[in-house]
Amino acid sequence: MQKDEYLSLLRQALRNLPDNEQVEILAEYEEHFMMGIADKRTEADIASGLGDPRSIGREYAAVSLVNHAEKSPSARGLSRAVLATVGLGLFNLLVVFIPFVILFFLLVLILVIGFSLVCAGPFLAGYAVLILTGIMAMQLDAPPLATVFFGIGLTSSGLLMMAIDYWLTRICYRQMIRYLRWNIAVITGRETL
Amino acid sequence: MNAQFKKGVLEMCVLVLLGERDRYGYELVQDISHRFEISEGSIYPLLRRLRDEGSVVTYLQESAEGPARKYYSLTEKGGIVRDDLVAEWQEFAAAVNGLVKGEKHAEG
Repeated sequence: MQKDEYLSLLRQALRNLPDNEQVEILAEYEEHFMMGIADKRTEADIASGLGDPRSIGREYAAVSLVNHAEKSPSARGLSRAVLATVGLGLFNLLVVFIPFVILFFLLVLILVIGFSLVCAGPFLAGYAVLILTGIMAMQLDAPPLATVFFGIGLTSSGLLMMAIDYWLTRICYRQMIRYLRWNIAVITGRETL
Repeated sequence: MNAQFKKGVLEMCVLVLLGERDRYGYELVQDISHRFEISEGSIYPLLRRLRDEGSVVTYLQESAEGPARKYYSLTEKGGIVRDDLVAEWQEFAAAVNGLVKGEKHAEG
């Protein structure tokens, strides 16, 4: 492979990174080629010494997206980091992507249940209040006053669930970043299992 | 040599070399590959990570032969990381060497 082809494949693999990072990384490899050529080596020899530009680019992309997701936390940022890490190896579909999706749905599920409880409380309590005040004449299986308290209890537990979910989400986020970092280190051979 | 061995100690080697004096990327690759064979491509992602972690800093310097070179320089933090890695390595290497030589120690 010649220098130009090598650099354009690398650029292609880095396309999801911010411009300044792309420029920096590409400059590094360009400098390496220049030095190698000055050293009387052929472009093909230098390229094969460096290794596959696509996999090198994917490693840079994964590391950078994980760093970004850590610096400015967002669901989108983390998803991009996860996808980039999955791109490093098919095996990661199993040990990164699927756990991430399951965790994500569990956290959303807790949020939805908590929110439903928060909303259901006032309805139930309000309904019971209407009966208590005689505005509505309806039969209720439970004593109306108890139902009011039950409604308040539902809303409170819903709020508690949402608060716990928020706290869990923050912990999961941080752990996911750590896990991705470790995963990249293992996949690129820096660390062993 | 086993690829896993080398990747594990590459970080330490880079930090030790940068502790001697500032070097540019290609120079680092050359200085290490004179001693043992490495994949040249693994140096640059490593250098970038070391910079992200604050172990090294970079600066550009003009060279007589051509375009400006990107030099890497060890930081104080990098020096601490290096010392830890070297100490860990020496302890490990001594233990493995002892085992290979069949030395009996810490028994009984």
